[in-house]
Amino acid sequence: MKRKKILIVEDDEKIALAMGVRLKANGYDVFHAFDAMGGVDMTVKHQPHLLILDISMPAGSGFSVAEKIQKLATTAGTPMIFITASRKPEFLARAAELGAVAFIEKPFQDGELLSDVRHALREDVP
Amino acid sequence: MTRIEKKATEKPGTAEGQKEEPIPSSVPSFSLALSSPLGEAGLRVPALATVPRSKILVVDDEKSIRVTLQAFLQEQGYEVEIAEDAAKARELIAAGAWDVVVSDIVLPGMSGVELLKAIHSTAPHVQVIMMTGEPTVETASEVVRTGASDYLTKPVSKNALLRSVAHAIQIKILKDERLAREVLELLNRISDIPTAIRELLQLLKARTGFEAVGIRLREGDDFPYFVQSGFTDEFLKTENSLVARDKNGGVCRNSDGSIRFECTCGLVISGKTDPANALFTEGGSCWTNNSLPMLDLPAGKDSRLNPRNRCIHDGFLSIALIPLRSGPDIIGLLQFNDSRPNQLTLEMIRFYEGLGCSIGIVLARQRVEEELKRSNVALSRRNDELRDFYHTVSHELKTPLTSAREFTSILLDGIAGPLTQEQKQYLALILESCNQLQFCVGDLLEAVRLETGKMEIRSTAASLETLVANVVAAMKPAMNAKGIELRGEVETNLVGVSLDERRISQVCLNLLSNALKFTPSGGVVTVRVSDDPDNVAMIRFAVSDTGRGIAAEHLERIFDKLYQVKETDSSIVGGVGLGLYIASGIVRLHGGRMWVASKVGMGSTFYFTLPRRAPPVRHHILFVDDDRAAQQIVSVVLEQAGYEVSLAGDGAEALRMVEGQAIDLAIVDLCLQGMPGPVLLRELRRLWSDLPLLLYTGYPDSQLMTQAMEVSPLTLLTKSCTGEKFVATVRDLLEREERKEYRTRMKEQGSRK
Repeated sequence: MKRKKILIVEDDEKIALAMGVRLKANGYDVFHAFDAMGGVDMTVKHQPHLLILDISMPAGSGFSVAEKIQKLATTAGTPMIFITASRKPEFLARAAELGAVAFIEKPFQDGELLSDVRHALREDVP
Repeated sequence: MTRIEKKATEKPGTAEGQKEEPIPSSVPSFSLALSSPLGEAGLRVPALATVPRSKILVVDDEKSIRVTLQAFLQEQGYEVEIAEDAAKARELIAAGAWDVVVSDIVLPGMSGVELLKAIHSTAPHVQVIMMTGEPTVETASEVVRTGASDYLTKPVSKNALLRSVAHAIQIKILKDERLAREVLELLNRISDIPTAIRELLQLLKARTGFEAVGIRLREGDDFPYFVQSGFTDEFLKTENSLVARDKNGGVCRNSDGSIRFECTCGLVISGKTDPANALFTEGGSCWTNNSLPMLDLPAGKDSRLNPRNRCIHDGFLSIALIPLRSGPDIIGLLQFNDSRPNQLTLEMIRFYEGLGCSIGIVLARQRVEEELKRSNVALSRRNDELRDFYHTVSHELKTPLTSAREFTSILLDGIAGPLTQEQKQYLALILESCNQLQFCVGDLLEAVRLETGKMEIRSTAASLETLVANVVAAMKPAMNAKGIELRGEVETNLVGVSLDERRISQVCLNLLSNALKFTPSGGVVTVRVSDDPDNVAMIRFAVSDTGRGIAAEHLERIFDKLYQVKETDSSIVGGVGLGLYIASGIVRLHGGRMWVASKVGMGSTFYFTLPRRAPPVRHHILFVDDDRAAQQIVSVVLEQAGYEVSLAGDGAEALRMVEGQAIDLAIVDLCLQGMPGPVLLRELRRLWSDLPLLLYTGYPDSQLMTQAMEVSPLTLLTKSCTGEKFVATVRDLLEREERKEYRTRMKEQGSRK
């Protein structure tokens, strides 16, 4: 079975690496972008099965990535998981509006990331 | 003008046959100006009884008329003088301050009208009453036009005269009252102090007709003119500052340390006026109708009684300096200067003293309001800064914490290769530290949320058994590890409680982890929920331990931010000290309170109460109709009945709305654009089996209707019903829902027993 592709858009390199290590160890192909622009470009280039988007990034938020890729025919409809350090109600609402599959707060609970990824990729559906 | 006509038809000579109107007493009262402001300020102001009598001047070339009229007026208590021609009249008017002049319109040497004009140019505040034997329309109009207050026909009856004089005096008073009203209205209308004072000055100048008017206000140590009109620049150069200075420019002080002010203005502002001196009033004002004698003060007298002479050199003869008071403090000065003598009367001064108090009070209040506004802005800014701080800290602390945790977890899961036992042990310790750090950061952010009012309490119906069971289960492992017995007890009759389960669990966990910390091995910790014995509307939680207890001196402060009980023999047992602060805050937000009972060596019990039900919230109704007019009408009707209303124009909007907020009742129009009414009803029923649904339609017989009725339960209401029926149906549905809940609760209760 072909490995599923996940794009992680996160400006903190350590967190991005940690997520990547864990996801790779669980059988996914992982790509990285470290800012919003890169996030959009990589999405178009690699057509990932899932996007993990950090909301608070200095030069463009995860929401801006989501908005842009949803306007493009080839990438619209890609499932998205948003991550953030601050669980503001406005963030929650916006994520829901953009059709997010999950919303995770940092630091992650044990196993939270993996189970949300599996759910997003419908791997937990029998 | 009606009055003049009446006078013209009056039968000359007789006073009989005319109704005797009560003539007001000789002493007019200034009700508005001298009422409460002065009383509140508690000033040295004389009682109304000593307000001086009105001064009347009677001018007529016929002696008998002069004498008769003087007698009439003196009988009433007025102070009366007489003049036989215009020249004498003008002399008298120039020499004194008059309230009313009663004059024949035909006088030797000058017509009455010319006299009138002359009076008005020298003493504009005097009321003039003209008398004539020939009431023609021309004379009447001319007299009135030139500004006489009234017009009497000779022979003048006593009643007509007295009435006219009283009326003239009243006009004076009314003008004053009007001015007072205008001043206060202005001050209340304009909240910006500088603008208010500038407009006040314009108003005073216009109404009084004085040549120069100024308002001094405190600025630092000095009392410069805040606004003025009519003083020359040279005048202001020397007179603006009142502070006495020595030759080096330093400030001179009195023996008591207070700043020394120069000039009579300074005297008034210092409040050091001597009421025994005729220049000063008991209200602390200084005034004169002829300033020239002030130049000739004998040596040895306070030099400030001698003004800097500037006023006099500039030719001002009538001068009034009136203090503006706010309580005991003099905050400024109101100044009237005029080159004409005899522009002032004592009543005028008293009037302005009263006004000065009102002005002072309003200014002081405005200053306080500005301070308040400024501090509110500062507080609001601080709150915003705190919130920004919260978000920044949130982000900056959580970011490295996340990666530390993640990599430790990755290593422990063997993803980077197999680990020795020792390595696993050390990594577990790192993870523990990360968890501790996470709790501390979490506590810190919770505390900030509590402070800035961002903590939300969402109360829902709760099962206390489940809550306690969950909390016990969460703490059991740690308790067991330390050899402590943990028990949970919930009294059986507790139903119908609503609270924020997550937050209350948080509170319980906090209390239990404290109990864990301070209880030695072999101890017992209990969580107990019962009715509050002191208040039937509340329930009470009690978390008890057999730990070391808390000394009495700590009990009060234990709920304070960052407070930690520091025992001399042991180190701090971990935690930032925010736990109890946050826990008690959560309880407080619910409407309850938290306290502790403890005995050193025996143990502690932390109690907190919660109201059984969350405070009643307004029922929230959703109304779905594409007709804008219907939306408006229904929302107004329901809001007036006390409900909160949300409006949706179609099915999609309606579904979006119910997702976001709790709705207690949905009213749906049968005919909708887009998603049909019946489909929406079906969706709503599918989402909430117990949501009351009301179908509201103008077309009760249709296929749509049949489809809609398949949804059950459903209530139908036609659009032709009255407003009362509409509200009654809504109320009934909502109460039925509550009654259903209550029945279920009672049933539960019954089955337990």
